[in-house]
Formats: sequence, structure tokens, C-alpha cells
Amino acid sequence: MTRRGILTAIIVISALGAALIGVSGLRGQAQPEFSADVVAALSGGNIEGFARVTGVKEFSFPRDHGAHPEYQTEWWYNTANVQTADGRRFGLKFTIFRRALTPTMPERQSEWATNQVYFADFAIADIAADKFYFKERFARGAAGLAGAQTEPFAKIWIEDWSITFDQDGQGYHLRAAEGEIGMDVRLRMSKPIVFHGDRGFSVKNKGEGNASYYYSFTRSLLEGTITVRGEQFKVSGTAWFDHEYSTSVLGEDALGWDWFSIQLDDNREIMLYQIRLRDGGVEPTSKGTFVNVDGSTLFLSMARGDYTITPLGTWTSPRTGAIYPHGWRLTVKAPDGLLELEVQPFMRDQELNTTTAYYEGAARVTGTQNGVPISGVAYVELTGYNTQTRESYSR
Amino acid sequence: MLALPNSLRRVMLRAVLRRPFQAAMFILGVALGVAMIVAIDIANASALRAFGIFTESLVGRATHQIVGGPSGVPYELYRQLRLELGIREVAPVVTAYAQALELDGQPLRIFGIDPFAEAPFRGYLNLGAANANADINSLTAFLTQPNMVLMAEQLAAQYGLQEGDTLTMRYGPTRHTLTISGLLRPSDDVTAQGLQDMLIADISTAQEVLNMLGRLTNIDLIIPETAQGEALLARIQAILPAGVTIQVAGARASAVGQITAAFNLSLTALSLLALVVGMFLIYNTVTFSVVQRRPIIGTLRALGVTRRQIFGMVVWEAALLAVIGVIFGLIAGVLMGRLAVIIVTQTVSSLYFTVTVRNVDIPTFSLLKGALIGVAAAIFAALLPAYEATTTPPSGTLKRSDIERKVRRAVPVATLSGVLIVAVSLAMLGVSNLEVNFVAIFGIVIGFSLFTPLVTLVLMSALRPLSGALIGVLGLMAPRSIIRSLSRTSVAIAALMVAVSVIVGISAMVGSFRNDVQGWLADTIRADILISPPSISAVRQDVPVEPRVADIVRSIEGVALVGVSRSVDVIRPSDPQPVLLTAIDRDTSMGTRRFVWQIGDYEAVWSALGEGAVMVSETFARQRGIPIAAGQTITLLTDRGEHTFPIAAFMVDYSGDQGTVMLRRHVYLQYYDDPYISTIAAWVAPDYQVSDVISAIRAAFDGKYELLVQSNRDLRESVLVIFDQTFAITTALNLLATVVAFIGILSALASLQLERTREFGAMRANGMTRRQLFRLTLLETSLMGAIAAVIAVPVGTILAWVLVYIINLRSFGWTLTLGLRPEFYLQAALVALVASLLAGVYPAWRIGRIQPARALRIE
Repeated sequence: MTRRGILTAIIVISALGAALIGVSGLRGQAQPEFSADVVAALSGGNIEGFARVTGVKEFSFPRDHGAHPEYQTEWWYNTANVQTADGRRFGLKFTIFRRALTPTMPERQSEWATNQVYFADFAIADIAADKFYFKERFARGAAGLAGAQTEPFAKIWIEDWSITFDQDGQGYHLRAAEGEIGMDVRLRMSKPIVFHGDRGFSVKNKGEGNASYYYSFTRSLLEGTITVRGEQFKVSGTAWFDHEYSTSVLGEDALGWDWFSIQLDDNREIMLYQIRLRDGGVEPTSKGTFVNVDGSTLFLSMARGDYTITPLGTWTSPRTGAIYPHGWRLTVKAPDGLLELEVQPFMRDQELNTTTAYYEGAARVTGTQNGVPISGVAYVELTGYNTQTRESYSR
Repeated sequence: MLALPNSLRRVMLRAVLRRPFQAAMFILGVALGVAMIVAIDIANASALRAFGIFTESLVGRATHQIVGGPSGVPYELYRQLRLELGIREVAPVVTAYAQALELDGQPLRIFGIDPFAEAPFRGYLNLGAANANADINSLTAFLTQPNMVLMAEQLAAQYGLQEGDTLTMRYGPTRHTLTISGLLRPSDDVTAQGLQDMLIADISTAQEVLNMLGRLTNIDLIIPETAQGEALLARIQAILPAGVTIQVAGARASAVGQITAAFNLSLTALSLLALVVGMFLIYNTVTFSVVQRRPIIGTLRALGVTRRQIFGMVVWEAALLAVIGVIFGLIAGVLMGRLAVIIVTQTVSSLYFTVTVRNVDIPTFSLLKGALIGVAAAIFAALLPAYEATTTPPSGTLKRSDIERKVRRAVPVATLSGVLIVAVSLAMLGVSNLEVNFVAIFGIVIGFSLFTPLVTLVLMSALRPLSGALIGVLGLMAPRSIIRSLSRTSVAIAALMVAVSVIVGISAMVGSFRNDVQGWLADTIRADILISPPSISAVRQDVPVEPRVADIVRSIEGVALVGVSRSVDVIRPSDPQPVLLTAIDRDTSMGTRRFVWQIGDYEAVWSALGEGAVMVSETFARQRGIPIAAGQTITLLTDRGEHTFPIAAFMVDYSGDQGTVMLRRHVYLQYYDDPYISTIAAWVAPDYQVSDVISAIRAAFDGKYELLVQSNRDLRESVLVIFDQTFAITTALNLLATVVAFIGILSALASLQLERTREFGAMRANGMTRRQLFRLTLLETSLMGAIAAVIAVPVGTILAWVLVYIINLRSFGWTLTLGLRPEFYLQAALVALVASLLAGVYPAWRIGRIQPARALRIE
């Protein structure tokens, strides 16, 4: 099972919930209920009629940077650790999600009619000021309000937030602004595209079709401007991009997950996660990818003991009351020796209290390999710690 | 205010209890007046509040709205606002009324929204979250499936509808089957009321059903009142395409409020009129009770009760009875209000905007106002009699004859003040302020009523020899006894006169109006067949019909000529009220249209229109302050931007009270990208029967277009039906005023006759038969009715004149021709006579039963 499947499902439901709430004006109140019951609904037969991910496919760009509306869910995920020239650090997070409400669409005349819903999160962690800002929005994938195009270049947008690929396909441009935060940054991929699983065919669990297509830009070099409370900062840093789509089904026993994207200063990257189960165990198919300096990759299996994740402390959200683990010791069996890493968020509060609350935080990485100190940055994603969300799983 | 010793209070109470009939009359007078005021107030308030709630539910928290002309607002503008200007608090709306066939043809507003954009705007919708799965599924269907709508739970329950049921909605010539994908459970009453008339649809569904593909009805915005907000407004202005403008939200709504203000004012004035008549009643009753208690009052004075205390006693008595009357009045008012709401709503809906009132509000303010006015009027009416009571000398020997002598002396004073009041009132008519004009009408009525004593004196003195010669003794007695009790009779006559003259005035006004409308219909609609979509509002025809429908009509055998018209609301810059623009390719008047001003003959007007000029209806010009004169222009926002059209003529037009601007179709198409038509007129070739052609047209439409095909005659009739509906409330109020007057005269006469019990006893003792006494009484009362009718003729005529030439013109802008027909007067005279005769029957019956011995025993 891929890391963000559940998150996406929850957010999608929340998106619907939000739309519903848009209609109901009961913002916040009714929402956990929706998440709850619809997650339950999603583990049922709701995927009927959608395209399924059943085998290896030939990716073609820019076409595959765009949307795949015949699959139920899709997302374009950006995280970045950046700093100003004088070393002031910021964490950036910007994701656009797509969800198909139905597998097919009856013929409609109105250009507003669609079964595609888009939604997005945008967050900036102002680490020096210990302030975390986040925004979210929803839109229909129609009438030009949100969508994904691939000609003449790939662009994914939700209103005036966008991910726009350069003509050469080697770079992209992120734009998002709302209220007190904004960003306008350009990125160049410094490494080849990493295809997870088997050439991008990422099996989720043993069921037929329970898989996703999943690729990443594990190290993009970022330059640009961000705005925090009206103040502009010129920043640079490294970013991570994921694009994944599927018609996924959640395991009924899943509680949440802890996911890490690590960029070591020696130009290597690691993605790994664990899905926590209701019985206190860990989903055996939890896995990761180790990316070498040259871009070659190594599959990491948790079941095989390729990596371990040990929490070091906790942080309690003052808003949601969720108790998140805070700080981890990771071990990763790299080909050239065991990596012993400690991941510590740059600041405590990086919880996105959006329609569905979860934690997505910029973190500092320190550690050793073969006795040599190493360092880096990371992004950590924690879901399923919100009591309300967790309760909803147990229904 | 005036402290009253307990003893006096008891005297007062005993007096009231001893004369239950008079007390009842007093209470009735107050109650009826108060009831009328409260009923009208409730009706007006309910209709307006319903509209207010409706507007609120439509506008929500929007501060501004982007609106366009007939073709609405291009949807790309919305995308631009979100994507290019990055505006977040912006929401698209596609909406129009359609008729729900299964719901008794009730008009429902199909309100198309984008749920993802709605949250900041209209938080009034609430899906019942009993089953979240069902909700998600219904929302998915709502967004993705065609023809899905959400409906208020209450409305659904009312018609026994459930989720999944279908509704047939008729919009213009087409029907749509909509499915209820979910029910809305409003969180509060206001929301519930707002939702009562609505079907919420996804914007895509609304576009498809309402034929608005690619277009929006409006775009709502929340723009803060800050410098940043101002800057944002400027940026929005900069990207608005031609034909689209940004307005303060609710501007149209408040404009509608202004439109109906005149209508409400006339209703209120009518209800006040009832109170005036009621005041006569009160005055009469109080005077009577004072007169009757003269001996007691004299005794009290002799016992040392001060004048001040006597005054207080009378006023307190009036206040006490008034309070009882007010209580009854409030109850009756609330009950009557429920009825009045229906009538008012009907009128408002056919004239102004569709409004459905399901909850009748009973505003405390209305009740309070009614109560206060009732008590104040009663006390006011009691002041003069109360003062008179204080003039009773302690001896208590003052007799009726003394009072009457005094009254006779007062006749010139009354007449002079009447002249003065009438003169001032007439002067007030010159002020162009409706409120002042209404006060002037009251002034005229009251002023003329002050002439009653003099006219009664003169008429009865003149009549006496004649009636004596004709009827004999009774003929001599009756006029004299009227003169003898002038203080009483003149008041009763005045009350009746007021009611009758109001009947004359209003019938003449409505009759003239109706006559003019009939004439106008005959002049302007000279086509044989008229085809229109079944419309929701009586006065507007703005549902789009495809132009090819006209081609179908053209192809029918027997159709010689076809004309089409298109009516749309357009924007006049800096005018919050929309302008009804009518584009015609052929004038159904065939050149007989009447104008109040025109550049030349009809041909000249028509060819000026051909070159881009417009005709403006008189009502429109007057309401929007355009002088009816040569060289005027009107600037409208067109799809090519603002354009100034020269005005070639000001036409007489009764099609709606807001007036219209008319231009020729080719000019319209030059300025507006709107290919649709609204109505079709057809002329039948000679040798063909209109009814045959109508059948042929209906057959050609069958199943494809649902359009109303009417003959000229049917159309005219249906217009007159609407007209009569519009004036139903006026007629109803008029009737009520008559009832009040009738009760007034009944009470006055009854009191008068009862007061004369001893006199009648003496007459009987002296040999007068019961029959003679009966006849005498009836003769007296019918003479009084006749006097009232005589005075009502000029007063009614003046009222009619004022209503037609001043009130109507200033309220609505219509120039009517006052058509005075004898039947108005005959009807009024009949009412006066019948009322007075009937009013005389009861006292006459009572008097007939007098036993002379008992009556005289008191002596």
C-alpha cells in the first residue's frame, strides 16, 4: 500500500465533505463524520468501473505529468527545504490532489459539468519565527477552474495555484499564494526521474489491481521568492516531487502511516514509510526506495529488515489534541553500509489543520555511515494520529 | 394623566354598564379601525419580509454582484476573477424561475451554484446528515448527474416528495424532469423561508435547464470596505467586458422596496381611512353618553366634582372602552391579516416580483402601532365631548335643546373650518410628496364632512314644506327632528358621507383605470393571435423562446403576418433598478399607439426607431425622472458598452407599473447578443378563421413547445383579469370601509332614536300608531342617507379626481382619463340609502315596542 493512499482518500472525502459543507455551512462540525463513513465506503465497492493499475506501463512525458481521470485518485506532491542567503530556513509544502467522483460521466452540455474534483494544500513553515501557515482549497475540474493539461507543456492547476512544467521537461514552476503566504519558485531536476516499485508500478498489497503508478523527482534545485506575512524572501534549496495515481483501496486494518523523504547532503535520497495497523503492528508491505548519487535505485523492504523506524518523543497538537511522535532514529541498509540517522523536525508545530488534520513537517537529518558523520534534510508525514480520524477507522 | 377618584371611576363604570349597546358600538368602532390597520400592516410586512428573506437568501453575504444584460455574464469572467485576479470570495450564480407542475404550478427558483465556491456566501443550506454515506452519494450525483436538485425538507414534505422523486419543471416553452438528489434541512426559520421557493442545483444543471450554457446570471463577490477592497474593485472594473457591470449587492432588492412603497402607502392610507370613519363612530358614542349623563354630571358638579375631574372621567371612559376595542381589533386584525396577505401577495407577485408568503409574521410593532393608534384616536374623538361635559352647569338643568342651540350656533364655525381645511388640503395636493398628498385627501374628506351640519340644515329646511305636502305630518316631523338633533344626526351623516364618497372616488379611479387599460389594449394589440410562454409573473415575459418558433408560426396556413418581441431586463448605468427593454420587429398597434409626446406622426416615430431611437413609456419616464419633452435620451449598458439612445416618443403604456423602453428588433440585435424572442404576434389572413389558425398553431407546437396561443380577445380578457386581481385589495378595503360606515350610522341612529324614547312615548300617548312611528323613524334615517349621498357626490368626484390625476400619476406615473359614469354615483347613493334604511330598522323596531306608560314614567 502506498503511503498517501489513505491520506488522499481522507482528503478526497473531506473535499466532498467540504463541498457538502459549502452547501451546508456546517464547516468543521460535520466533517469528521463524512471522513469516517466515506473511508468505510471506500473500502467497499466504490472503485467499481474505474481503471485499475495492473502492470508495468510505459511512461511518456509530458503526457503522464498530466491527469489520468479514468483512475480514481491522483496527486502531485511538492515538499522543499529552503533557506535565504543568510541562512534563514523555511519548509514548503504544496500538493494538488485530483479525485474522480464517478468512473464515467454522462454526456453533459455545460462546461461546468464534471466528475473530477481538485483540491490542494499549501503550507510554509517559518522555522526562525516558529510559525506554521497553511491554506487549502477545492475546485471542480471544469470550466477552466482546475485541471491538468499536457499540451504544449504540462500544467496542473487549481485556480491560481499551479505546477507548470518547463518546455524541456527538466524543470517546473510552482506558484501559490493566499492570505499571508505565497511562493513563486522555479525548480530544475538535478537527478533522473525515480520510478518506484517495478518501473513505476508500485504494488500496494496482494490484491489484483491494488497498486499505483508512482514516480518522483527526488532532488530538484529550487530558486525563487516566498512571501510570509507580506515579507518577501529570496530562497534556494532542494525539493522533492511525487506524482502518483491509482484506483486504490484501503486496508480495513490500517490506522495511519509515518512517511519520510530524506535528502542527504551527499546527494543521495531515501523514501521510506510504515503503515501502522490497528492491532499495533506494521503493514508488512511497507517499503522504501534508496536513491544513489547517480540516480540508480534500491528497493527497501521493511519486512526484510532493510530499515527500522524508532520514535524518540512525542508532540501534542494544541488544536486537535493529536499526539504525534516527534523525532526518530532510522536505520537503513544502504549498499555501502548501514545508515544510522536521527530525524528531528525543525520546529514542533507543522500540523496542517485542514479539512483533515495531519502532520507534514520539514526536518533536520543527522547521523553516521561507517563512522562518518552525515547530514541532510527531510520531510515527515504523519497521519492517523488525530483521535477523531482514528476512531473513524475503527468503525 | 388625570387622576380619578374611586367614586367617579364607579360612576363611569356604571354608566358604561348601563348602556351596553353604546359601549359595544364604541368598542366596535375602535376594533374595526384597529383591525384594518393591523391587517394591512401585517399583509404588507409579511410580503416585504418574505421578499427580504428571499433576497437575503439569494444574496447571502455578498457585498457586490457582477451583472449583465439579457445574455448575463460570460463564465470566462468568473475564471478570470479566480485565476488571474486570484479572488477567493467569489461565487457564480445561474438562476431563474420555473414552474413546478406537480406542485400546483408553483413557481420555484432554480438556484444554480458551485458548491465549492459557496461556503463564504450562503451558509443557509444544510444537508440533513442523518446518513453521511447517502449524503456523499447524493452530492456525487448532484455534481455529476444531469437534472439533479436539492430541495428543502419542508417543501418536499408538503407535497409528499422524497429523495429520488422527480419533478417536472416548466421553463418557458420546455419541460425538464428534475430529480431530487437530496433534501435540505434548514437550520433556522429565516433559512427555511428562503428555501421554500428554491431548488438548489449545481451550476452545470442550472445552465442546462435554464438555457444558460456558457453564461452566468451573476457573479457574487465579498469585497471589504477597505482601501484594498477599493483597489480590488478597480481591478475588477478594469477587466469587465462590455455589457457587464458591478453593483452593490441587494441594490436591486432595495429598488424593489422603493417600487412597492407607493403601493404599500396607498394600502396604508386606505386602512387609515377606516379608522377615520371609526373615529366618527367613537365621537358619536362618546357625545351620546355625555349628553345622556347630563343630569348626573350636573349632580356631580353640584357635589363638588371639578370640571377637570369630569373631563377626566369622560376621557378615561373612552380610554377604557378603547382598550377593549383595541384587544378585539388586534385579534380581528391578525385574522384579517392572514386573508389580506393572500390578496397583497397576489398583487405584489403580479406587479412586482414573485413572492410566496407561507409564514404570516405578526410583528409586535404592527400590533403596538395599531393599539396606539386605536387608543389615541378614541381619546382624540372623545376630547370634544369631554370638554362639552365640563360645560354642564352644576344645576344639571341644561337640556338637549340648549345643546342643540349651541350646536346650531357652531354651524358657521364648523362650515368655515371645513372651508379652511379643504382649502389647505387642496394646496397640499400641489406638493409632490405622496405622504403629504394622502394627508390632503384626509383633509378634504374631513373638511367636507364639516359642511354636513350646514347642508343638513339647508336641505332639511328646504325639504320640509315639500315632504310635508307629500307625506303629511310625518313628512313635516322627520326633517325637523333631524335638524333638532343636529349634533347627532350630522355626525352620522358625515360618517356615511365619508364612506360613500370614498366608494365613489375609488370606483371612479379603478373604473377609469380599467377603461383606459381596455382602450390601450384595443389600441396596441391589434394582432389576431398572441403566443407567449406560460409565464410566472403577470406583467413580464422574459423567458427566452427560440426564434425558430416564429418560423413555425409563419409557416402555418392562414397566417398573414408575424411579429416577434423580446423583453429583457437591461442595466441603465447609475440606476439600481433594471430597465425593461422590449424589442419589436412589428408594432402590434399597427400605428394606433397613443403617445403623450412624440417627434412627429406615427410614421415619423417608427422610422426614427428604425434608425436607433427608442420609445419610452410614460410611467418609466416619470419614475426615472426623464422629462417628457423633446430632445431626451436614455443611456443603457449594451453588449457593445454604454450607448445613448435618442427618445422618439413617450408612449402610453399600462403593461407594467415600472414602464418599459421599446426599440426595434434590428436595433436591439445590433447592441445585444441575444437571439431569443419572448412573444409572437400573428395576423390572420382574410378568409381564415382565427380559431382555426390557433388550432393549427397549437397542433404544430404539440409536444415540442409549450406555449400559450391566445386570440386577441382572450388575451385582453386575461389582462383584465390580472387588472381586477391587482385591485382586489382596493375593492376589499373599500368594502370594509363601507362596513365600518354602516356600523357607524347604525350606532348613531340607534343611539339617537333610543335617546328619544320619552319623546316617542309622548307621541304614542298622544295617539301616534306604532306603524306611524316606525315609518317616521325610517323616513328620518333614509333622509339622513340621502343627505349623505348628496354631499358624497361632489366629495367623491373630488376624491376621484385627486386619485386619478395626483395620486396615481405620482405613485405610478400613469396618466389616466377620469371617466365619471353615473353608475358610480348610483351605486354610492344606493349604498347610502340601503345602509341608512337598514340602520333604521333596528331602532324603529325597538321604538315600535315602546310602551307609552313606561316611557313616560321617567318623566
